[in-house]
Amino acid sequence: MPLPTSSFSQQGPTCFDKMKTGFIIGFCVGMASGAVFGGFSALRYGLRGRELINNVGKTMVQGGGTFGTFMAIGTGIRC
Amino acid sequence: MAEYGREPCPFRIVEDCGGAFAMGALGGGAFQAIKGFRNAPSGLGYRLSGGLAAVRARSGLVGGNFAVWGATFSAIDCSLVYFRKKEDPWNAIISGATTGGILAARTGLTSMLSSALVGGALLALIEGVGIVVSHYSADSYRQVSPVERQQRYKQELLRQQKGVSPLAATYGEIDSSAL
Repeated sequence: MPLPTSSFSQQGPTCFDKMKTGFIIGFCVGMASGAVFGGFSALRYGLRGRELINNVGKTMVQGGGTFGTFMAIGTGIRC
Repeated sequence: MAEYGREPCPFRIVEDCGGAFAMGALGGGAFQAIKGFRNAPSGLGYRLSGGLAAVRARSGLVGGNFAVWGATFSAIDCSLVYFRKKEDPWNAIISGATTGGILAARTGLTSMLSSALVGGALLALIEGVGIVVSHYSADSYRQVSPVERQQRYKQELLRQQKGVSPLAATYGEIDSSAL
């Protein structure tokens, strides 16, 4: 019996898929590192409450964006 | 991180050095382009030339820093592979900490220790997140054996006969004796 190939086609991840995964990994790592190091710095400065949350949140998003961009580029280079 | 597309040691050192330089130059170039564009005087021509000037001035420096880090990290990683005879996330974490310490050696012992701690923590985060992401996304790219493919095909045919499948409308009556 011949099997149709269109419905069950199996192909590996494309370059763009790999870059997306790289960005996800980089964004998670950047967020986590931003939380750890940003939290440490903010606590050392004596921030508390809402000010602490705002500063750490901003640091997390910045770290995630920067690190995610670099990881995506690195993954793209290795495709 | 378990990357199966990398060269074996010791050629990995050269490849990681070049890859890190490219990553730093491209990524740094992108950020410097944005920064130069925003700092330039008004006018599209001035802004474009400002972005280009910033990229030319600094992307090489960023790439060089990345290359030094990548080469040192990979050299230590290959040394650990040689001595421990194992490749696991601990190699990456130890290499990250050692690289951070070595590259901060000029600024004193205290700075070395804190940079080593930062390097180790960062590599631990990278390995941890990599393991989690690969665990959740690996199933999407799992190879399907021919037997499993046939089983899926038969299941799809049975669903069409019962009228459950949304594809049933596009097919006529199917002779079940063909299975």
